[in-house]
Amino acid sequence: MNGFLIHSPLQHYAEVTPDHPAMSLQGVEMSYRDLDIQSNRLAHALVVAGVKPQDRVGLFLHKCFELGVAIYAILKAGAAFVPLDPFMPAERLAFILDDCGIDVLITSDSLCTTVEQIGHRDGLTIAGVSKSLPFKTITNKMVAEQPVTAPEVIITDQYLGYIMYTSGSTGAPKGMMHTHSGSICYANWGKDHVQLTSVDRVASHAPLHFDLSIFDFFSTLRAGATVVLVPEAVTKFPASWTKLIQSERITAVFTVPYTLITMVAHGAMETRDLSSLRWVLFGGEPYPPRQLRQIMSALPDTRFTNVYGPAEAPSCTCYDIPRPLPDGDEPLPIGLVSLNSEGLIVDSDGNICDRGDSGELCIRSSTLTRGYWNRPELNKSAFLLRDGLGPFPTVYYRTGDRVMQGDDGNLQFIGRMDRMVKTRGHRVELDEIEAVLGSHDDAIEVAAFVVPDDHSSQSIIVAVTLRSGASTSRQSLIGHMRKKLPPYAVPRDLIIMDAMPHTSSGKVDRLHLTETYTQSDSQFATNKPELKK
Amino acid sequence: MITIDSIKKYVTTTLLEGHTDPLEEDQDLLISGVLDSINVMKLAGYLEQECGITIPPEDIVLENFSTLEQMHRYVVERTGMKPGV
Repeated sequence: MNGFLIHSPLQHYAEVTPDHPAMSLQGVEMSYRDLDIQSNRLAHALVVAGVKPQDRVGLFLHKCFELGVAIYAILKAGAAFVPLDPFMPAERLAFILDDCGIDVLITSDSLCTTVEQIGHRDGLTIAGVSKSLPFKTITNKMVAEQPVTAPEVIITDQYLGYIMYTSGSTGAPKGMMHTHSGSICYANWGKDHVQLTSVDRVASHAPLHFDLSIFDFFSTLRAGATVVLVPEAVTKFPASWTKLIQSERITAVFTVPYTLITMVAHGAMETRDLSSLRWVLFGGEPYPPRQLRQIMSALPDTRFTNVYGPAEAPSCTCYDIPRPLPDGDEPLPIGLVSLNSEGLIVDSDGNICDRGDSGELCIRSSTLTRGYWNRPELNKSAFLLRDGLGPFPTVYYRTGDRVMQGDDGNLQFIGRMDRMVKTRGHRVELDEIEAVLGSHDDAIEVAAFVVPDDHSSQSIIVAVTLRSGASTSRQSLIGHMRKKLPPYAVPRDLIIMDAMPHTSSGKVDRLHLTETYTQSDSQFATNKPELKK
Repeated sequence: MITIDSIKKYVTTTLLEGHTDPLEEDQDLLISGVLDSINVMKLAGYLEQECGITIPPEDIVLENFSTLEQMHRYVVERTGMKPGV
């Protein structure tokens, strides 16, 4: 399969296997021919609306066929797609639209309520809605009148294919830029590792704004296989998810351990026929071996791979889980560095560590991000430049993850160097939560920390002290965070404290908070509403 | 017998502190982002306790738990299946 752009295989398969399903959603399929034609029409409409190569177009949609059509339409118009969490509050949406310079937003009627709340914006055009909104609109009728062939736009593989926003440590999300060429390397890695062919049916389980979705859509596309769209609501019901694996005959999925752990706990797996599922990739958080063993015995013929890679350098290492998985609770290795990447383990002075010593993993990779959109300071600090063989330095991403290399060459993840945490697969900066809650008028000191939860993930707790005389309720503080943070980043519990504990150096003693919280509230999982002093 | 209002009260006061928008009985709580998977499990536990029933894992699916109405209907049916009630 040739093609130098991330979307090139679409036209190829539309010619070679036009009737083969490109996408499936709740038993309904869309063929490669239809996906190609519909995305061509929308691409023309985008061009007519003024979208030019290297522009950014926002995608604010639930999982639906229109989402797939829009991804390819944006790419065919030469622009980069910017996936936006459909559950994010309007304030965050407005921030990203401004930050990224997005002039066209593709959305749907079901999300109009949020879109209406972003306020008027000169020059913003909305597509995909039939309701009347106070914006310029690309109507569905305008799209239907466009040509069925792709617009003639000059696109190179050095252009951005997508920008993905994640939690940022200053309280504002940051967008990482990925080119067509980098995305192709990631997509090819996925297709090759999982040995995808046209008969595969790959779940799109992760939200589009997670980099796992690049595997879901583009590794699958390169194989001419079928993406099975998993509605967000299904992902919230383990028993609905297992039902969907059976009914859609899903063959591969890339997800987070949390999904698999809840499948075992609540998925009624013994009542479903899950024999179609031949490969499970997981990543994002460590998977406790004890729990991995449970799902491996429930899925005896399925292969499992632990994939490691920050969204800045996706899929840079992976570890195929041996069967049987040896006894013990030793954390799983994150594996060997992929052939499209090189890893360095460096100490705090930037020197390369000896084998067996732990240090920060720095990655250079053909999947590497081109940096963060509009964040010059961050771009200076997040990357390590080393002299290369030629005139140009080689660029490594500082993962912020502490690792060490074992005798067998496999890397072992030890912990985060900073305070970015993973909660059920989502990346959250604790500093962002503190910044958001700290922006409340009545808040004085804020400390966010994590405690283990009963799903082998961790939950975010936030403690706050209030100015004296403040009558703010716990509800209104939580409500304040809900308005500014995506749902997964809203802490599971909020504690109003009389005084914040401090270390001798005067910093908030988060360790003390974590320990006190864990000891005093073993029933935390039930999220009892009592306040602790 | 449990009422829709008491389910609604549990959702708004216990599961969703700080949630201010009113909930409709036929509103899809999942797609609107009101409930997440943890809350669904807690809700199932609450219904088991309140109604004295056991909810098998395979029944905790979208068709039964997306709206307050569906939950109520499911619990009523489930209670009817319990011998001696």
